[in-house]
Amino acid sequence: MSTFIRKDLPTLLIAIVGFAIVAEWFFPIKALSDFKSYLGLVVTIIYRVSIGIGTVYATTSEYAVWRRNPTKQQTIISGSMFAMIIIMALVCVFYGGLDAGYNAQYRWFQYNIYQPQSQAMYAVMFLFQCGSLYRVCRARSMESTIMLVAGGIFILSCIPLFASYVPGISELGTFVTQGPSLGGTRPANMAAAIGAIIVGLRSLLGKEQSTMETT
Amino acid sequence: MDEKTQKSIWDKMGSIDYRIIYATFIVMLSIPIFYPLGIPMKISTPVQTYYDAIVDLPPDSAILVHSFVDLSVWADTGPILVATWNTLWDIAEEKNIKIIAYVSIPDGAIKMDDLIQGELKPPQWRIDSYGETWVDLGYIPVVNEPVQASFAADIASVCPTDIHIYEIGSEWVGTPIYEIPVVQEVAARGGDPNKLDAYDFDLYIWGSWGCTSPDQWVRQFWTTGNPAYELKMVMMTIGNCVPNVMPYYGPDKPIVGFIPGSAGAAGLELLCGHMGEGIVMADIGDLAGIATVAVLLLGNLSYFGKKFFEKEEEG
Repeated sequence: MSTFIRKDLPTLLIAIVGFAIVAEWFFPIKALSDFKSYLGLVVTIIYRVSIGIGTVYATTSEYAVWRRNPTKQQTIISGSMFAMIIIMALVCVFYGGLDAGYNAQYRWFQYNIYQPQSQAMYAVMFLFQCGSLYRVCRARSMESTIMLVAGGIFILSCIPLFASYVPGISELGTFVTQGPSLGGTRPANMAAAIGAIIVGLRSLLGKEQSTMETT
Repeated sequence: MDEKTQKSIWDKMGSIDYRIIYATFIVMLSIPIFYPLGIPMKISTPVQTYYDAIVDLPPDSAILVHSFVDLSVWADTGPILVATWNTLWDIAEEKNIKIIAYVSIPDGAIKMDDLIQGELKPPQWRIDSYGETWVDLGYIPVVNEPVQASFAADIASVCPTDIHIYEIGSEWVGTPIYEIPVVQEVAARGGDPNKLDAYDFDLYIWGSWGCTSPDQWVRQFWTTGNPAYELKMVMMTIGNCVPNVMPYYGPDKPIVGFIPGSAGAAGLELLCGHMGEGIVMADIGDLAGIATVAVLLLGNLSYFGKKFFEKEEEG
């Protein structure tokens, strides 16, 4: 692939589209507004196509992982799960047609496998968080003491019982989030905003190395 | 065992087996499922302002609703969505409030379909006036910033046709959205009946359990636009994300109210008068919170006990 197609053409497209969107902000004429709306549709199409490409990549990589199972038992167990998902997907797509997501088979899969499994993952994450809180959140230094006090106040303010019946705990929780927390968040946001403008301009001018690499 | 190698009470307190901690949490979380406790609670300010923002809307207002469904956190966020829609359905017909809704993940489309046909069945006048007073556009992937930007600038650019599948309004499936009367009416508020954008709404109800989402939504629906959209929002989220919402929360700020997880949903249920799973989940939140505070105290008691008392003994 030539350098022009690999590097210069994407940069040129980014620059044309980017400058057109910036220009629309300064000169809100209909042609530019329509162009911006049209780009919205393009973004959606790219997003949806990327889901499809992602599915293909995930399936092939999962297949490769499955083939690397060291024992026969593991191969059979993980292979049966993998095969079940593939069969389910094929049934949904080819049996259900365009309404695949709404047929009884997919609903059964969503409510009886996908939802309990994803909720269990979330619950396990919560248990790990609580377990680590016990080991890690100790007042070992000035910094960890501040974190412990602020975190403790915030946790208490989030528990309905404490928030309702411990005087001032809600206000203290609000103070932690709107005072020290906000003080840290705002400068970080400002720095990120300034950085985003610089990265944006550099991308439009074809000077941003990270954009070059992804294009 | 040697006396010196024997574990002190402080050591024991600080090295409880993880399995015991997990088991304690599981027991605590299970109690309200089998025996709802009904622990009393008060309604917090963000929940009250969330409710007020919806019910105090002036007549003829328009609401954009993101039906926030994520099955992995459904236990925590589902009650918020249910209570929110119950609040919306309770708005009197005379107020002529228009509702345009969507979901942002494919699972959500199926879940909302089931909810609308069951637990969240609209009042008869809403069913009769589907497409005229409210519409659900179905799955629109408004999750990343480029799509959000396009969505805010022109909803049809990311959702050219109505793609919902409810039996209630199946006649509209595949209809270009500007041919749907309620879309035309809401779009006309901004002057152009063929352009539905963030300027046309009075309130945006949305949800996310991504803690950086408030930054994103505020950027795309409040500060963007020329002039800025400044679309007032209320948000459904989880307790962990509250610190990220707070910078944008206040009566004159982008987010005028928010519901922090199922405990907040319980408050909304009390306000709208439709009791649901939020109340049970609030009990679970209470017990889980008490257990969390207990392990936090235990860990620190052990640390300080070892630091001060064992030193004294050595001295």
